[in-house]
Order: sequence, then structure tokens, then C-alpha cells
Amino acid sequence: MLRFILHRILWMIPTLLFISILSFIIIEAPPGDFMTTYVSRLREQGEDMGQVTIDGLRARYGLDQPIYVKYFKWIRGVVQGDFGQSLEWQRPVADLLRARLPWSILISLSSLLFVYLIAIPIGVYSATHLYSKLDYFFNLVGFIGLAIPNFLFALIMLWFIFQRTGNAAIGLFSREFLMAPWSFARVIDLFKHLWLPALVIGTAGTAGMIRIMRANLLDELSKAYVMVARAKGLSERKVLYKYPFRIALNPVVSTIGWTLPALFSGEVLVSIVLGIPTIAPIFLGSLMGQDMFLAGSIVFIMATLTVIGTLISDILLGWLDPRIRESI
Amino acid sequence: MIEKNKTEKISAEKLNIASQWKLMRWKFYRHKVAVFSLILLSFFYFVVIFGGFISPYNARQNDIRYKNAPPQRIRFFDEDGKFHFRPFVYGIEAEFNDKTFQTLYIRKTDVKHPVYLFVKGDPYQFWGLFTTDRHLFGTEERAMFLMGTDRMGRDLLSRIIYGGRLSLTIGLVGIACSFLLGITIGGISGYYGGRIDRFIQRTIETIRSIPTIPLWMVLSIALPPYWSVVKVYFGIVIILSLIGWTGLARVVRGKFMALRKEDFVMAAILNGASEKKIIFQQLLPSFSSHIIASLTLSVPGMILGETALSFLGLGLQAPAISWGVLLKDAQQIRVLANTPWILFPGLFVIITILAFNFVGDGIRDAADPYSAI
Amino acid sequence: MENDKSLLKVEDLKTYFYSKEGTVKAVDGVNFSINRGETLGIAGESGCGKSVTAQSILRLTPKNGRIENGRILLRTDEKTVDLVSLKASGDEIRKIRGKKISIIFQEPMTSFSMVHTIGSQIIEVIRLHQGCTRKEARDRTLELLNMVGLSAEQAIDAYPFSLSGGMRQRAMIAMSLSCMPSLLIADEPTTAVDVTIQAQVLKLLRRIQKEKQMALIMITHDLAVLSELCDKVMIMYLGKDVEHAPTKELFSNPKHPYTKGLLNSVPKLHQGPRQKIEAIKGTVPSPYALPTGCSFHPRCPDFIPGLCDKEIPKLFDVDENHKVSCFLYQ
Repeated sequence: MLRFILHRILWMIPTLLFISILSFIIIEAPPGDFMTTYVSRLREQGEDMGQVTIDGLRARYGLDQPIYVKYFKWIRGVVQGDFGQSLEWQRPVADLLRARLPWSILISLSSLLFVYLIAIPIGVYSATHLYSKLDYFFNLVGFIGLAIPNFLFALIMLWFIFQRTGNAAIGLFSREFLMAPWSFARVIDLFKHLWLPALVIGTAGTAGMIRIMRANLLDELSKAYVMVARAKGLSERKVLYKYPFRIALNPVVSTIGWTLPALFSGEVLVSIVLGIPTIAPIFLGSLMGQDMFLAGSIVFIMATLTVIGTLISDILLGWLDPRIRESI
Repeated sequence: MIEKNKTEKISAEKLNIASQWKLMRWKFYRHKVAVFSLILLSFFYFVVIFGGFISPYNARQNDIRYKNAPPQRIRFFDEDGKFHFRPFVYGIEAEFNDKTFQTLYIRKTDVKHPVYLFVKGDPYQFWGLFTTDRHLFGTEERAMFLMGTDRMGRDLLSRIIYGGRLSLTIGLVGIACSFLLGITIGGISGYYGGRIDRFIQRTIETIRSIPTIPLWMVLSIALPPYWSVVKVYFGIVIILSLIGWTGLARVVRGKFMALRKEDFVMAAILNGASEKKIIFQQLLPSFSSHIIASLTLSVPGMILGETALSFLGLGLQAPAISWGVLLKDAQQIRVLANTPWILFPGLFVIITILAFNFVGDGIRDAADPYSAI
Repeated sequence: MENDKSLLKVEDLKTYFYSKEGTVKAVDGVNFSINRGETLGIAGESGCGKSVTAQSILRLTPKNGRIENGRILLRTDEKTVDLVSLKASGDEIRKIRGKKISIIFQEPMTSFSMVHTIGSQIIEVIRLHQGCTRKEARDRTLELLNMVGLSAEQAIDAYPFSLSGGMRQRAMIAMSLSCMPSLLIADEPTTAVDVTIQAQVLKLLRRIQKEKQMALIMITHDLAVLSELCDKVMIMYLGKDVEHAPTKELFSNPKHPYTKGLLNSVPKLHQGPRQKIEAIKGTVPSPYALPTGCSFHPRCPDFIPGLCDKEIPKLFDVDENHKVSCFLYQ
């Protein structure tokens, strides 16, 4: 098992390298750089900066060096936890990430939990009650869930809540807990707010997961070992849960690799719509303002997190399925 | 002798393929929801193609008399329950409320605007060929807003039809691009295998590990702000397909891998057929139905991508009209609360995506020789 | 039944499958019985209902299959139960499965769950039926694995995918024997393994059967297996039992035209390379559209027009132990 984990971790390194290069290309890609935007914005406000000042600032931020030098400078910093300076916020990117990222992760993980808690039981029900009325119903709901764009669903929920309460800001805390120190009541308050983004983000994923779970379980239920288990005299419950269910879970676990990116995507859109102070709004802001160090770092962090998520799911899968564990 | 055998074999194969397509079509027809969805989609595209003619007004024509007007209904019966052979809409009039500072519309039952076919209205260019002012239906005076108007008094139904031009086509054009990328790269990966395959798979894995929306967002700001709508449109298409090809490449690769081991491919290799020939004459036709299914199923992702980007203000922008651009107006909660009908474009997004999913599902089921419907 | 010493007696069993395309009468009136320590062979082409008969005995038929008629009487120490009257997944039948009657399926590749060890899957049965401790069950499992000729210490903690097909089939036999059932049903246990392994598996089955005085129902389409292993044979065609006879009698004196056809379609030893092999003409008809009368009549060389295609033959006695359902022996 240890060998398996090590193998998986080594496997990650080229992927991470690739991601870092991609993120850096993102940082460098837009025409012009931060200074171009900054200067043009100042011009709009009627101020003008001398070319000397501009060049000075460029040199200070290292904007005038060749690209590979900039990449190595950047990646060295990243390894040490220094993501550079957000030019727009005038703060280290790492500080911004520290303050905002945990909320993004919390929301994404909650929706992951939501997806699994809803999808697995429904998938099992649908597979064991094939072509029943509820099976059709879940299928239809799933199709609709897949078809509603996250942000639209968020808008509709926002509208409902606004109509009912007149409150337009959803956020993660009620006003009285916003600045309060951590307490049990604050955690409860957090959960009261968390379900909405989790629901909105998780709906599409749930629909997809129900289909996967249903198809897998159907596949497994038709295998010979199910009849063998029944022929041993095991109860129907045990026949279902000990054998096919357990194996049908494997592909579900392995889909974390693509569920996580989808959830992060959803989180970005939904947090922007619902006005939740996660990484998403400042990400949008950084793109609008061409604050590329911030934008690139956020992409890098999100991709790295999904890679780590995939690693965890791989390890989990190896633990669940001896075939995978011993295949290396 | 060998030549003769070959031609015989090919004609036999053609026969086989033809009957397979027929079988598929027959199976697809049994999938009622998919057939209905296909008809609906065809209808949408038809409306969009003749958008200028079918939409009652010009999508950019504003009208200060009717700002934020609610949707109206076409009626055959008036308030007294009297039937009118010619359908009509009631007139509406804005009334400003000094207490709430809101404009409310009241229906004036004494004013009836009859609805005519082929009515004269805003001039438009028909496919860039000639200018005309005939519209499929409408009222003589500008007074019919079936899905309401926006804050500038522009007719939302017309805007949705115009927006469909971009939103509905972007999915197809995007799919065409990803199709080319996916089938080439996936084909190379699956056909050659080995190192090339591993490299390509690793690249795909990496691209897929990056959340798409943020990546699209980042790429879309690389589009120069001075670009014209058409350029931005194609820019967005390229961005969407730069990421969208990976899924298709995987499908193609998987099929290639499985088929490489099949007897008929081996037979072709032994017969000395060239690689190109094998790929285009043997491999591609044998799973084209699967490719069509996965293409159909990836259109919704493209449409969603465009809509989300434009909604955030990163994709198509204001003078352009797309469903995402229209939904951007709904971002302010107060606007949304006062004029909820501006969510109508969202309804069309949902219906379109649902329909594409149903059609794709229908094709996939029909293409699977083992599925029993 | 009281004065009958048979262990299992099947009377007029009918198991039908229902689907959109129609009804398949997979088993359509089968009768047989088996005594303690006896070996019964059930033979026929694939699709003749052999496996469904076996599944029906343990009430394991898939969801769309239903036992429509008949009795399956199992005699235990205490009493005789009609398995058809039990609930398909109720407690009573579950106490019989694996304990009184065990079954070995033909696919050794998929008969074990790949994510559990061989040991855990056997221990499970022992603990379920005998309520012993984990330690006792493990010891018993080791004993069983040894008995079937596996190196027990290794096999018990191995995952099924690391064993060869033959080893898996041995493990399967060990599992089926774990509670020393009075009846073992082997559903084509050797079709999916190599020829050399086949012989070993058959030998093993015979040895254990003799030692434990177990009744064995051997389902196969391989006539050589029948002649090697069985005391008596039942031949099935399209869901019906067409001939019952002691093995020797059947091979030396087959009566039913179908049985004759079957025997002729297999090359015989000691007759040299130039012997004539005769295939039965025609093909098995679609199960949705069975012929009228005797279902074998379209392929039968001795077909009597006006009789065979009109009426369904009953089982006629040829001898005391030899029964045939054919109008030729009326």
C-alpha cells in the first residue's frame, strides 16, 4: 500500500509541473501587462505618469525580464509559499489566498458531501427498482438538474430569498456573527448559510453521479458473484451491500478526479452570484483588472487542489480495490 | 483474384453499414422524448435562421414608453368573455408611483391592438441580401411584448431570438472545432499507443484537472477588448473548444484502442492496407455513431460555457446579444426582483440543454447494439 | 413421499421468463428425483433449461423468471419441505442455501467477488450457517482448501484475481462444501477451465462425493463427463425432460431420437479417424415460437405426421428405470 501511495505521488509531479507552466502562461498571456492597464486607468482619470516612472515600476515588479527568468522566479516563490504581490490589492497574493481560500474549499467540500449523500442512495434505489415510477422521476429530475446552469439556479434561489426576506446578501454568516469570534453558535449559523451554495453547486454533479451509481450497480448486479452470494444463503440486504454495492462504489470514488474541477467551477460562479466572500469574487476582479499574479496563482491553486483531490481518491480507490493496489 | 475479393468485401461492408444506420434510426424513433427534443431543436434553429423575420421587433430598438414592461398575452377572448376572431393584445400604460418610486403598468382593457400576420415593422436585413420591414406577426403600433421588455424598453422576445443566433450557433461551431482537435489527437493517441499515447493522455489529464470555468475566464480576458463582435465570437469558440476537445479525444482513443484488437482491422493490416486507409475506411465508420452521440452530448457544455462567460461579463459583451449577455441584466437583485421576466433567456438555455441531452441520449442508446429498448 | 427414500424430488416443474418480447418457457414440466449419495447428470444443448432447473431448486431465478407450477420436495432429517412454497428470499430458503444444498456455477472468473479475499468469502458461509467463532471458521476454511488441493495458507488470504481459473474453481468447490450439504449442484463446473484442469476438477468432485456420501447433480453438455461421473442421466430438450435412464443403459441403448442424435454427434474413441459424425439436422427453434406437439418434431428423423406435431408426448416407461417421452415407445 505504501508503495502504491508513493507511486501515485511521484505520478503527480509532472502534472503539477505542467499546471505551473500553464498557470504562468496565463499570467503572461494577456496583451500588455498590469502596468498597461494601470496607466490607462490613470489616464482616464486625467493623471499621467512619465515614461520613466512607468519603466521604473516595470523594473521593480520584474515585468521587463525574459519570460523563463520570470517563470523560475515565480515558481521558486510558489514553492516557498510566496505567490508574489497582488498589484491591485497592494498585498501579498498569499495573504489574500489564506483569507479567502478556506471558504472556497469549505463550500466545494460541502457540495461534494451533498452530491454523495444524495446521489448514492438514489442511485442504489434506482438500480434496485429499475423502471419503477420513482426511477423515472429521479431520472427526469436528474436531467433537469444537469440542464440548469449553476449561476442561473443561484439567481433563481437568490430571487426567491429576496422575495421572502428582502435580504439580497446571502454570505456565509448572519450579520451578528459576521465579525464574532468562533463559537458553537457561529458554526451553527455557518451551516445555516452553507446549505444553499452546496445545494446549488451540487445539483448538476448529483444528477451525473446518480447515473453513474445506477449504471455501475446494474452492471455489478448482473455478475455471477451476486448469485453465488445469494446461493450461500446471505440475506438480500447483505447480498446487495457487501458485494455489488461495494464494487459499484469504486468508479464513484474514482470520479472525484473530475467532480472536483466541476465543483470548483460551480463554486466560482455561484459565489459570485450569491456574493459569498470566497476566492471567486477576487478572482473575477483580478481578471477584470489584469492583476495576473493573483489570477494565475488562483488557477494554479485550484488545479493543484484538484490534483491533490484526485490523489486522495486514487489512494482511497487503492484501499477499496485490491486489484488497483496490486496492479503497479 | 485478390482485387476482386476486396471489392466484394467492401460492397458487403457498405451494405452492412447501411443496415446499421437504418437500425439506429429505427431505434432512435422509439425514443419518444429524444424525437420530440430533436423536433424542438430543429424548430429553435429554424426560428433563429429566420430571426429577423420571425421576431416582432428589432432587438436593439428601444422605446422609452415601455421600459420594464411585463409580458403580455395574446387573447382571443376579451374581459366580457366575448370571442374575437382576430387575436389581440390589450394596451398597457405606465404609471409612476410616488410612494414606492416604481413604475407599474396597468392594463387598459378599452385599448385593443389586433395582431396581424406579415405586419410592417422595424426594417431589417434579410440574410444580408435585401432590406425589408415585414415581420411574421405583430401589431400595427409598437405595443406587443410577449416576454416583456428590458430597462431600455427593448422587446425581450426579439432579443431572445437574436441572442439565439449567437448562443445556439456557438455550441455547434465550438463542437466542430473540438471535433477536429479531439478526433485528430485522440486518433493519434489511440492508433499509435505507446509513448505518444502516454504523453497525450497526460496532457489531457492535466487539462481536465483544471476547473473549466476559471480557465475559460482566464483565457477569455486574453481576447483584446477592441475586437469586433464576430472576432470575439470566434475567440470564445476557440477558447471553449481548446478545453472541450479532451472529452471527445478520450472517447475516440478508447474506441481506437478497443478496435485495434478487432479482427477486421488486423485483417486489413495483414492485407497491407496503409494506415491512413485503415483509419478512414475502417476505424472511423465503425464508431461514427458513438462520436455523433458524444458530440451531441458536449454541445450543452459549450452553450453553458458561453452563457456563463457572457453572464460574468468576460465573454460576449453588450452590443452583442446572446442569452448570457441578456442574463447579465439579472445580476442586480433589485432589477431581478422588479422584472423577473428577464430570466426568460435562462428558460431557453435550460430547454436547449435538456433537448440536446435527450437527443444525445437517444442517439447513444440507438448506437449501442446491446441496448434493448 | 413418506415411503420414498429420495433426497430431492422434482415434480412437473415449470419456470417461465417474462419479457416484452414474450414468454419463454425455460423449464416446462420436468420430473426427476435423486437419492442420497447418488449422482444425477442433466444434459442437453445450451438453452434447454438445465441451468434454470438448477436455479429453480435454490429459488435463484432472476427477477423476471417465475416458477409457475410443480413441487420441489427436499427431505431433511426432520421433515420434507416443498421449496416452491417458500418465499424466494425468505429465511427458510436461506437456511437451505449453502447449508443443505450448494451450487457451483460455471464461471470461476466471476463467481467470487474480486475485492474480498477467498478466505473471507468462505468464512462468511461457515459463520452464517454454523454460528461459530471467526477462529473456528478460519480453521475449517483451511481444512477445506487443503481438501480441494490448494495450498491453504496462501489461498486463504489471496484475492481471487491472483488465482488461476482452475484454482478458483477448486476454491469454489471448497466454498460449496463448507457446510457439508447433502446435495451439491454443479452447473457446468468445467466448461470455462482448461481440459487438463477439467479432469482434475471432475476427479476432485467424484472423490469428495464418494467420501461424504453427498448427492450430486451434474449439469453439463459434455457427454464424456456424464459417462464418467454419473449414476443416471436426464436428457433435456427445450425445457422438457425427454429421456431418463441409468448412465450405462443410456449410452448403450438410447431411445429418444434426440438422445441418439446427441450421441452420434460426438466422435467416439476406438473407432478410428474415419468414423461418421452426424449432426442433428436443423437448429434449435426460437424459444418465443415453440413448435406444436413434441417440440423436437421438426428436427426428428422418425417424425410421425399427424401425431408428433399435434400432441405432446408423455413419459413412457421403456424399462423400470428407463423413461422416454416419445410416441415411438408408446
